[in-house]
Amino acid sequence: MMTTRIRSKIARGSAELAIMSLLSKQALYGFEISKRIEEESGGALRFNLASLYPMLYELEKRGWVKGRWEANRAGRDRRYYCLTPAGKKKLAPLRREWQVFFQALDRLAGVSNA
Amino acid sequence: MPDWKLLVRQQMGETSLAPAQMEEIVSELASHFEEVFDEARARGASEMEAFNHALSEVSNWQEFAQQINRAKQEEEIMNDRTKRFWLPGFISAASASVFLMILAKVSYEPRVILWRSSLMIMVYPIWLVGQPLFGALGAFFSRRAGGTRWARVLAGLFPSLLLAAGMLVVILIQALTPGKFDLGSMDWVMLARSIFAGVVVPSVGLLLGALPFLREAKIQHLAGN
Repeated sequence: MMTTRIRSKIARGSAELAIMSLLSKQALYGFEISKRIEEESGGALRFNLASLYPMLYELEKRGWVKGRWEANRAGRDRRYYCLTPAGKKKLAPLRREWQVFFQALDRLAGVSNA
Repeated sequence: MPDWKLLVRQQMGETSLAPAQMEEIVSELASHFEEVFDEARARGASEMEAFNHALSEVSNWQEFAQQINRAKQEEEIMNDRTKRFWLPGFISAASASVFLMILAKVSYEPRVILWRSSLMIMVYPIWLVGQPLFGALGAFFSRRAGGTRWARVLAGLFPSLLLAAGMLVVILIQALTPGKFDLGSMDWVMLARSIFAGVVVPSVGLLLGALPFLREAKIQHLAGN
């Protein structure tokens, strides 16, 4: 039970960081976010619809991202997400926390040499 | 081309969200399905294969609908501010009050301290000694809930803030009662003395107790924001 909780918290935290990092570069809509995460992680990370939208809505509720409807190049209406000022402020400490986490994990398990 | 909006609406079932909000969600999810479907078709999949591929994006609709509901609801039962400030603050204040009540129950008398031979201050030394513990409680629970440094400081100082607010309310009520308030007859020294003994001095103790919990807990809050 505890292991599952830790795992799900880590997965959730890493998903937040991945989404917010992407949105810090440019506004993207849901499908683009999932594609970009998959491409930029070399296929290691994949967000399907079921995992992406609850996370996006949660981030939006916290005021870290904001969605707005716009037509894309093909003329279809898409909801584009961008990072809010509060989200930009949150991203830096979030990155630092993960850096500390990976350094700690590296010291513990030597994952960078694996 | 499948009617994705209809499919999403049917699969999501009844929700507690407002109809306009639900419609927006349906439109967004439907457009995502559409993109997945189109992409699969562009790769050469048949319509049925592309449809099934798009559908596989959600394996458990009931769970997904619940997650969307939770994420979209404006306020959770206990929001972040409650968890990070109000609750830890009230724990701190309640502990300090209970401790004071226990002291009163055992007839513990306050000490009278004379300052500069004229200023008299009444203090409860044992209660004051306990303040760091109450400050620590507030700051600890706030940090555990992911509170910012300011939230931890304020949660730790909550007993004093509450008392200061109480004093302010009493003064305001007196000021607003016709014929009751006279600036000239106000005992300002007495007021200053009460604020010093009841708010300032305990605040120092509360802050001391909160101090160890003001450092960032780096790993603990990694994912639980």
